Amino acid sequence: MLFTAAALLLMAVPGTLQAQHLLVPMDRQQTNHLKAYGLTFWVLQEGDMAEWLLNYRDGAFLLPDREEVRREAALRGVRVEALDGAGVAELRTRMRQGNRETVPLETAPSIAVYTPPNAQPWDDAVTLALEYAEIPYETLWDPEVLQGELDRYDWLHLHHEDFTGQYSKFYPTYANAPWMQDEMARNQEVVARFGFPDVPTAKRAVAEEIRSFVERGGFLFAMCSATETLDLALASHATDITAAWANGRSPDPDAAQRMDWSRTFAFQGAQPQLSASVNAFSDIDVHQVNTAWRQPLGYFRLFEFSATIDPVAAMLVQNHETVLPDFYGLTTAFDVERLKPGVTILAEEGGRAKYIHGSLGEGTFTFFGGHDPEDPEHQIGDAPTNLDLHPHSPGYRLILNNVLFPSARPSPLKT
Amino acid sequence: MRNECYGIAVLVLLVVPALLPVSGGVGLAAQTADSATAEGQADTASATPAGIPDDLRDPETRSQALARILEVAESREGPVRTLWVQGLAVAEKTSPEIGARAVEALLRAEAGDIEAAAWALAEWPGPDEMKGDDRAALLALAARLLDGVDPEGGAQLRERLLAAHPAAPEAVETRLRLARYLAARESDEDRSRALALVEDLIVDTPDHPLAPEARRFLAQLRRGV
Repeated sequence: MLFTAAALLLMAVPGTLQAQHLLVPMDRQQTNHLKAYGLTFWVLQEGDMAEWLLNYRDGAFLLPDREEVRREAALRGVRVEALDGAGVAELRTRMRQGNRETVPLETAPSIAVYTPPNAQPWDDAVTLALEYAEIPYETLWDPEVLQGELDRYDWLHLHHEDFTGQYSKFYPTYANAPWMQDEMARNQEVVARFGFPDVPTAKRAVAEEIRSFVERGGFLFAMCSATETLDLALASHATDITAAWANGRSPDPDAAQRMDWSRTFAFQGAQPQLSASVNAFSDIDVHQVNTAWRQPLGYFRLFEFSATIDPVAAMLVQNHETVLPDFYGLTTAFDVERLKPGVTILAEEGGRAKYIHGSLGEGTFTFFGGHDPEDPEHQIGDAPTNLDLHPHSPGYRLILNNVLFPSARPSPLKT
Repeated sequence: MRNECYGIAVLVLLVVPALLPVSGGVGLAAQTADSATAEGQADTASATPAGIPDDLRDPETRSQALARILEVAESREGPVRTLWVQGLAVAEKTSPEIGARAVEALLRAEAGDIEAAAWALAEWPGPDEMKGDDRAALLALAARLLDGVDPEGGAQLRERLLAAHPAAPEAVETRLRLARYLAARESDEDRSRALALVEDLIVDTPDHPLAPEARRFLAQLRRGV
């Protein structure tokens, strides 16, 4: 019976039986793009190496040909193509031509998702992507970050946290909602436990820990409001930008002048939104989704990068689509005028940066605006996105590019 | 959970109407046919299954009998309709006698004697020349009948089907149903077996229409859901 199953499995894979490698195409031939990342991650977890073929078949992967890998590919519904020695040689030749590069993937990164203890997986697109792709991760929140546990991980994800400590400025609307009451109680517990004067101060301390994590070589991936508020929290250490309900004081009217942008990851020169009644954090976000001057959604375009000269940026934009529909978040897209020099724009819509990347110390950060690539106008309480309906989601692919990125050992930047 | 709900639904639809004091017929069949006639949607006689087994056995009336099974199925609702459709599939692809036995089991179940009907069908020795696929079809139908009243018995029949007829057309669905039953149990051994069943299903039949559902179920099992 086992022999029969194995024989059938081999027959299911196009190519020869005596193959050396399995190619995981990531173009339109792929049957499940998102699970293909999970398969590659699984191979790394098993102690094998893999290769990322940048700009070849929309970012294909090359895996060792073992029966277990074929079986796992079949179980996950991922298309793989067997390559014998001649096929691999031909592939190597092709990879040397044009704008292509082979990046070895060596280890499966340890992944942490920053999320409150009672958050549901569907609160966060990254958690949804990890669950769907069957990529293991652990969760942590303020107490763990403040106790130095970030050092246990290679990759940290932040989502729609408000690091300014203003509860995403939802307090005026949802003050009596049970989830808001829970959130406030949890945050006050952290404040009391660690001896902070208020929630904004506690959140800034967490932001500083995250900054140190990246400086020491960590990989940070942030989406939605975590991108903007992380930098606002870091920059506001000498002033007060928060509404009175958060710390009992009115914000500093001259806060904009006292912001210290030398501490931030990606942004500079922004005007914090000091009005308690305006549900926006600053003018970093262009769309301002919860204001009367909300900007409409459009489409964003992924830039093409030289795989040989700039493999890191090239890895982050590998995709089978280059123009993607935009999606709202509390922070949707970034004003390019607010970006620091040295920040790379990976995707843009008109003068709005959607997806950016940069370095800080020994580490790197990637910020992706918006909440859920397959739910453009996500509302509180909406049903979770069912990724079984979106196995080829180009937006979710961008998230998973970031998950595999820390596994890579790219050749040094050539410019 | 899904299996349990389904089972309860079958039980209610099969047993409860059978216990109702409906005059002029036996349980659900007569009741449904009467109401259908009242609405002018179906002919009472055509939707009444009595006589179908004998008609199936007679080569001259076999095709009409098959059409009548479909009419009966259309007059039923929910899982009961599904059972009749499965009965039709068995009757179409097997010999007249085997098909007749299948329909007799459905009639007996509708009369409220579900367990006895299922086990009689499963244990029926059948004609000497009975093919393996025909036996598998009867076992699958019997297991379906038992789902609502004796899930463990249904699981036993599915284990028997897979052991004796692993390549039968019903084997794929049988693996998935058995896996769901085992996964709902407490023991680690049962969960491991459920995992193996689903994995083998996907690997052996990656393009089967049930493979996507099996992959979703596998992901749930691996997450411990």
